[in-house]
Amino acid sequence: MTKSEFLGLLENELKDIPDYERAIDYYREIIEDRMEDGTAEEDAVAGLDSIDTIRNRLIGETPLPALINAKVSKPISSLNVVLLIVGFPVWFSLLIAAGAVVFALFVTTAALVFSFFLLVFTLAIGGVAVFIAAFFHLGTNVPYGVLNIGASMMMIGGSILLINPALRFGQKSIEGAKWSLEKIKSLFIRKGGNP
Amino acid sequence: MDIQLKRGILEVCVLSALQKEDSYGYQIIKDVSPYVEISESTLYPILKRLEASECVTFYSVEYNSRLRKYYKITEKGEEKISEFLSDFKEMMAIYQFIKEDTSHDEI
Repeated sequence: MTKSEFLGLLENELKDIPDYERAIDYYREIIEDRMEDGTAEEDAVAGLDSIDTIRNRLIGETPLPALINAKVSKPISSLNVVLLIVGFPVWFSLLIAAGAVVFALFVTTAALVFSFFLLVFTLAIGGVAVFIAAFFHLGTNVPYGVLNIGASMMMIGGSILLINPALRFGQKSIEGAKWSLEKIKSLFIRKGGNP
Repeated sequence: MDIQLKRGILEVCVLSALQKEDSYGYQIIKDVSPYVEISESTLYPILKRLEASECVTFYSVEYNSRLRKYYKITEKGEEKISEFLSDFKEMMAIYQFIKEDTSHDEI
C-alpha cells in the first residue's frame, strides 16, 4: 500500500474521532521519516500497526462524550437540513416505531422469562400443596389420595426439571439484552452516513 | 507487564527522551524502543496525554519542504520524571522487602 492510499483509508476510518486531522498528520510524518531513513514506501506503510489497531487505540483514549460530541457537532449541509425538515413526518414516525419495536422486544423477552420462572415456582408450590392435601384425602378416599400424591410428584418433578432451563433462558436473555444495547450504542459511535 | 504500569513507564520514557533534546515522533520511537516496546500507534496517544497534562508542548519546523512536529518537555514534565524516580526508589525498597521475604520462605 502506498502512503497516500494508507492515509486515505486512515482518514476514512478516523473521521468520527475528534482532532483526527492531527493523527493523519502524525502518521504522514512517521511514514515520510521512515522513507527518508531508507525504508521503501510500501515497507514504511506495512511496518505500521493496522488501521483497526490505530482506530481502536484512538477510540480507547478518547472519552465517550467527546466522541458523541464530535459526531453531533459535525456540520450539516443545507440540503441535509432541508431533507431533515421535509422528511420529519417520515423519519420521526419511523424512529418512534423503531424505538417502540425495540422496547416491545425487551418487554416481551422480560415477560417470557418472568412467566417461565412463574411456571417453575407454581409447579413447585402447587406440587407441595397437593402433596399435603393428598394425606387428608387418603383418610376419606384412598384412590383419590393416591392420585393426588402421583400428581404432586409430577408437578414437583416438572419444576425440578424446568429450573435449569429457566435459569439458562434468563441468563441468555440478559446476555442478549446486553449485546443488543451494545449494538445500539455502537450505532452512535461507528462511522457511517449521517442522514 | 501490567498495562497501567507500562503506560506510566512509557510516558516517563518519552519525557526522558525529550529531556535530552526536543524530538519528533519517529526519533522518539527510535530512542525509546531499545528499552521498552513502543509502536507508532502507542506513541501518539501518549504524546496527546502528555500534551493535555501540560508536560510537553510542540512546535512545527520546516524540514525537507514539509512540516515536522517537534515536542519539547516543560517544567511540569521534568517534575513528572523526578516524581517517577523518587517513587521508583520506594518501589525498589518494597521490591527488596518482598524478595527477601520470598527467599526466606524458600529456605
